Amino acid sequence: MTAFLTDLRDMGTGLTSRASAVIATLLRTTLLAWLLRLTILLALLGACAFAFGPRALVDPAFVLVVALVALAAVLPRSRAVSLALWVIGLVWVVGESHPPLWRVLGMAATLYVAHASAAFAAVLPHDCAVTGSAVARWAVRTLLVIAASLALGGAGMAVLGPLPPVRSILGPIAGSLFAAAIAGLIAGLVRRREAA
Amino acid sequence: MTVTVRPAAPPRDLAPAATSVQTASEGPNWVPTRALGRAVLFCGSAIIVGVFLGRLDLIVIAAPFAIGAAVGLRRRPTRAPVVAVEMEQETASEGEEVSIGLEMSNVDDTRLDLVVGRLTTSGWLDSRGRAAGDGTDPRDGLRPYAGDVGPGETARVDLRAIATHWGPQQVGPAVAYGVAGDGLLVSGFAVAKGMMLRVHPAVPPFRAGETMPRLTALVGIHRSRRPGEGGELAGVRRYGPGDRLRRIDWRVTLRTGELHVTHTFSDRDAQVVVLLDVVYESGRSGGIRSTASIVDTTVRAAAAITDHYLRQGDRVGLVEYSGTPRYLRASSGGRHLHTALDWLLETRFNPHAADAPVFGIDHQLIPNAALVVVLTPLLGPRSAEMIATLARAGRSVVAVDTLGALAQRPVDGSRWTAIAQRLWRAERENLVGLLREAGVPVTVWAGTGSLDQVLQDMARMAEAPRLGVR
Repeated sequence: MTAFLTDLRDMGTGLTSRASAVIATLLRTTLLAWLLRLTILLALLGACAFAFGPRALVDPAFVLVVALVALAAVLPRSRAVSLALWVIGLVWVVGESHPPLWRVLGMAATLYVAHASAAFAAVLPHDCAVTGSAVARWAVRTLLVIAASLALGGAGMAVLGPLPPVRSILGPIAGSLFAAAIAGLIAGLVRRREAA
Repeated sequence: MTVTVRPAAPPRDLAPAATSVQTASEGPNWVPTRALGRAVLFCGSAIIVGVFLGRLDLIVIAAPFAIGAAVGLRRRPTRAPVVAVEMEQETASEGEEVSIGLEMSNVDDTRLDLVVGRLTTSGWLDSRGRAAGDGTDPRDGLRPYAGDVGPGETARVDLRAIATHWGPQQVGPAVAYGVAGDGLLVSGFAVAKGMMLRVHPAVPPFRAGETMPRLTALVGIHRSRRPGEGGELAGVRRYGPGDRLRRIDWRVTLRTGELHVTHTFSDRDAQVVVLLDVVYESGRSGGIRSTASIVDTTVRAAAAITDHYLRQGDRVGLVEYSGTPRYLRASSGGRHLHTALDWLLETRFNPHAADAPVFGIDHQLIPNAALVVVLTPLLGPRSAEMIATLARAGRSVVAVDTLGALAQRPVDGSRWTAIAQRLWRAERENLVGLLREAGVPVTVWAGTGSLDQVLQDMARMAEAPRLGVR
């Protein structure tokens, strides 16, 4: 009985110390780290809302996706962020085939904000003090990328959207070549060595 | 009672002031992050699916990822950042604030989005940090710091830390890494190796009277028991053969009609050997603002005694009674104070083995005329035997009890604990009594005047005629 009580006391001490360590970590976490995680959460929730549309209120899968989104916000270094992007993208693909322009632009902006915020949060320790200029530069770059992308995308959709669909083998071939070119460009940039 | 603590460090001009910068770099230069893989895969798959399904909206959704990655990787850095740690001083005193600089340099010709640096130090350096010229929180200490650094620029973080415990304290290593391409690329770690800050113990206020039981040479500042050439007046007596003419007291001579001379006490030098008993340890070492363990009290008391007697001009030697005994030969002067304080930094609780440490009495180390101040917690028979051995060998020994208030500390436990503690206290009091019977005065360490009473008693005993058996 005494040994059991001793074990119980040891277990309680261990749990208390573990809880204290977690609380100390949370207290030490900087405001920027919290804000970045909140940004990821809100951006992914916004993307969910754009992807599901009115179905969000009735579709039980919405709850699972929200849980995944919350996990991605808490763990920005993990694969949960990539998984959340893929799942939300899949929901978008199986949803409406001709969504309105505002939803497309909203989806693009929220997904990129979530991705960029996760990339920033992943390279920062949770208790890191960051200079204001670094945060401002990151925010400006993200906004510029979104603005440029939305302008290009919006213009493209405005021009190409009204055109009647033409069934041709040339379209997929040209699109595949375009996708391969973009992938090759990014891969080439990554592989470029310091000697260049 | 208010106790002020002052540093035992020698004057700043004696301490070697230096600037230490060490830099090293390791690991690969730049690697893609998970975010880059995510961007490429999401973008590529969205475009492919969009093309095959004829969904223009998927191309638009993928566009920010493609543009963001292309813009981010447009100018890619090739060299990792460099980190350096700078310390303005190599020595400090307990309670003193030290300045540490963490420098992160971008040696590449591309602007880095972030350079993240972190400095680790000994837990006994209570730090408060501030990154120069920005709004980072000054109240918190050694957290990582990050900032954007342009090509060829250096970001510097000035950290201030208070040395809260004596001993060699580690500063560093510091690590830093760079982030570029909006978090798509991260560099390998640059490492600046750690440095050592020697923190001297703080000295509690300590003064002791001039009385010394035994003196050595005919030089020094202590008034001896014997008449001789010195500065302090002992009295006036009739002139005798050998008296110097300049000692004649003309007023008394004219009044009495006989030659009278003034005579003085001789000024003598003393040698003090401080013996640190660190075979036993107890209590929690909490730094200068908190509780002190036995070894803490021992080292601080040794620093105070050494500081006091060396400033008086006496010769002081140090001996460590432990599993691996050490000693510092007696000497005098400011340089020796610096040496002694450095020597004290290596003091550790060191029982080493179950057997008692081998402790021979070396005449060179502990001369007959030396005053031996033993700083001991009197926690076991080893210490008592060592003190008794010294006393039997004819040394003037004073035992200073370093256990202090720890002896009265209540201990939680079963109902037998209180009884066991009472028995232990009785046994310890018995040990102290035995030492006193053997002629060793025992006093509790209490800073100023701790040794006055026992030194006066010892001086009186030394003056008294001795009984000898023939």
